[in-house]
Amino acid sequence: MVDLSVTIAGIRFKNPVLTASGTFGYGVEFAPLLDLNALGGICTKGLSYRPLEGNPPPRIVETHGGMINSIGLQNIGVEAFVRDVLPQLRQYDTRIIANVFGFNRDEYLDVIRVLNDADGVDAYELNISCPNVSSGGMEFGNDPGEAARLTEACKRLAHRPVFVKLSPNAPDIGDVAVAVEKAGADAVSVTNTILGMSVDIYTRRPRLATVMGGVSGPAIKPIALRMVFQVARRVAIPVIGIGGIATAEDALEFLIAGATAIQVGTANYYDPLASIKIIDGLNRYCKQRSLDSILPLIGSIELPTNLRNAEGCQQPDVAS
Amino acid sequence: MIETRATVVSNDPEGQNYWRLRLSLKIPLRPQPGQFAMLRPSDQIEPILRRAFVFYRVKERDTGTDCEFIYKIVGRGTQQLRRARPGDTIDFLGPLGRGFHFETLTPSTGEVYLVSGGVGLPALYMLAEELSLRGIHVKLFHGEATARPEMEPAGLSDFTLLLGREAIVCTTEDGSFGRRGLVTEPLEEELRQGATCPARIFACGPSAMLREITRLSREFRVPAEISVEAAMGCGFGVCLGCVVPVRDCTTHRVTFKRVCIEGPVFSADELAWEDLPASAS
Ligand SMILES: Cc1cc2nc3c(=O)[nH]c(=O)nc-3n(C[C@H](O)[C@H](O)[C@H](O)COP(=O)(O)OP(=O)(O)OC[C@H]3O[C@@H](n4cnc5c(N)ncnc54)[C@H](O)[C@@H]3O)c2cc1C
Ligand SMILES: Cc1cc2nc3c(=O)[nH]c(=O)nc-3n(C[C@H](O)[C@H](O)[C@H](O)COP(=O)(O)O)c2cc1C
Ligand code: FES
Repeated sequence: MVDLSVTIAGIRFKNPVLTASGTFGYGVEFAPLLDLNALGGICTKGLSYRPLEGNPPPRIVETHGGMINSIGLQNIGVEAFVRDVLPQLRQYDTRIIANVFGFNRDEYLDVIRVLNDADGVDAYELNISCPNVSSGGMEFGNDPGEAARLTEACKRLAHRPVFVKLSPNAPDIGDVAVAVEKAGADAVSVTNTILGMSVDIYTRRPRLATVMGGVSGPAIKPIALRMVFQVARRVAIPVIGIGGIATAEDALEFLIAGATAIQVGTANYYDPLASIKIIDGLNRYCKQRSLDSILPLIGSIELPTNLRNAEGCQQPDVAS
Repeated sequence: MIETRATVVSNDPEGQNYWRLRLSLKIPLRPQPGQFAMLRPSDQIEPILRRAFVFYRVKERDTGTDCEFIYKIVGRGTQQLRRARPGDTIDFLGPLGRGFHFETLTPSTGEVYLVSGGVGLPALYMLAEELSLRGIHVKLFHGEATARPEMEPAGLSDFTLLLGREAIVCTTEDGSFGRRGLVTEPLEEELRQGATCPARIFACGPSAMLREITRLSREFRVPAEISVEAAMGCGFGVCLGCVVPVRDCTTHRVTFKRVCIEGPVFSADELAWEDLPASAS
């Protein structure tokens, strides 16, 4: 038996495979397809204090190896989540991470206040990085100072560990990671979708109603992996890797690069069983290498000697 | 909703630009008319998202289910599907969505009109079958932009066998097959002159056609149900990518509903057409 369990902020996850916010509904939608008990954890769709309708359609467009979305955080609101969804989720033996969002600091705090009173949530994940809203989320994620102030306020109120989901669109994601760590974040989730766009050459119009949206899926994997690697070298708190993970091999790359756990996102859409296949694949990989735990793999990356001590390995000197 | 692998029995061209895909599944399946499946050839990674196709015909066997789909070559996903050969496997997720509501219809409630444009035709076959089985008189209005001489629109011969030739009116915009003009023209004539008013209209096709049907449904006070399309990420309600604006009939508030879960069939009254993107087909 391989022990795939990992611990983040004192919470034991039975395996490092979580499902990413916004790509797994509220979790229960997948119950007819897979055994939710098998998952390390479920990150809920982003919850705001009031229900949100989101952005006008078209909201998604496919691109090579991925998609761009501008959902705009449509959700049922935290109260409906606690009342209608949480009791169903609680029946499963998996960790529940509530993804939290607000248009300003007070709204983040309002959501946390409601969740604090509810049973069955294991941790909060602050989304400070959604590219699809015109105010709020994005600014927090781009500025280390803002991100730290928000984290600190949430941390002070929260009864549960606080993970902060960082923005890949920040000038330096490592700086934001360091700032939120200092502010008390228990872990960082790296990364959210990357700002992108798509144009219809026949109508000469943007394909998304909001013009720009967030790119996700296998297309962003190398970028997300690089960010996980960079962040993991600068902070001591656990890093949760996200971005284009679709197979066990993808997940292993992130773990080796320094992630303690990973989240499966867009893959859930086109392969609803992707997370289960990844867990099976991690088991097989460990068995084949006679590893009885996944822990030795985490951050086990072998670097060229000249780069071993470099903090971020930011600009490798490569001819292009 | 079942996620499985289906085996391709056959995949052949039909009519212009259409293909007919027959799949064999090892499990029992009872999709309702208007429901759909998300399909993608197994082991293919580009394009990554599955594509939505409505169940055209379904037959249960002792050992599983045979399903037929009729699809039009549009872009990368359907090009890829076209290359599937007998024996290949297809990733299958279905049945999905809410189909047409026909349960209250009986022979005494009156005739039913089906209206389709282009690739909207396959969405109506199971419904036509179900209504005929219940002894309800069905009339089909089908329109295409153009047709090659001697080439029937894909699937039309199945409708002819089921309903009889006299129950079918075909139009093409250039007059190359059937009547010249838009499919909503003979429909409007029929509604205007008809001795009896149909009990309901069921429609699937391009948005311009569906808008016109909504107008006719209001003018002639015939309830209409229409199946709409939207680009889909998941097909089962989790990405929130496929929404359309709908208006609550009492509060008049516009909200978003997911085509894949609350649809693809909506009552024509419900859709907030003025808020729908013009490109949605
Ligand atoms: C509920 C439903 C049932 C459908 N049933 C059928 C059917 O039985 N037969 C058939 O031929 N077609 C059907 N369609 C349309 C079919 O899904 C699209 O033609 C197909 O997705 C086009 O994919 P593509 O890769 O060839 O085109 P591309 O243009 O390359 O597709 C790019 C993206 O846009 C989406 N997309 C493009 N056009 C459409 C469209 N018209 N509707 C929805 N998504 C679109 C694709 O899913 C993809 O994500 C149905 C659509 C829906 C929503
Ligand atoms: C349609 C869609 C909706 C999303 N909604 C949220 C959200 O509500 N909150 C959040 O923090 N991230 C959200 N995300 C981002 C994902 O959780 C994830 O960070 C991103 O998609 C990258 O991972 P992937 O490439 O594996 O999908 C969303 C992503 C997609 C594609
Ligand atoms: S296609 Fe994902 S919610 Fe409808």
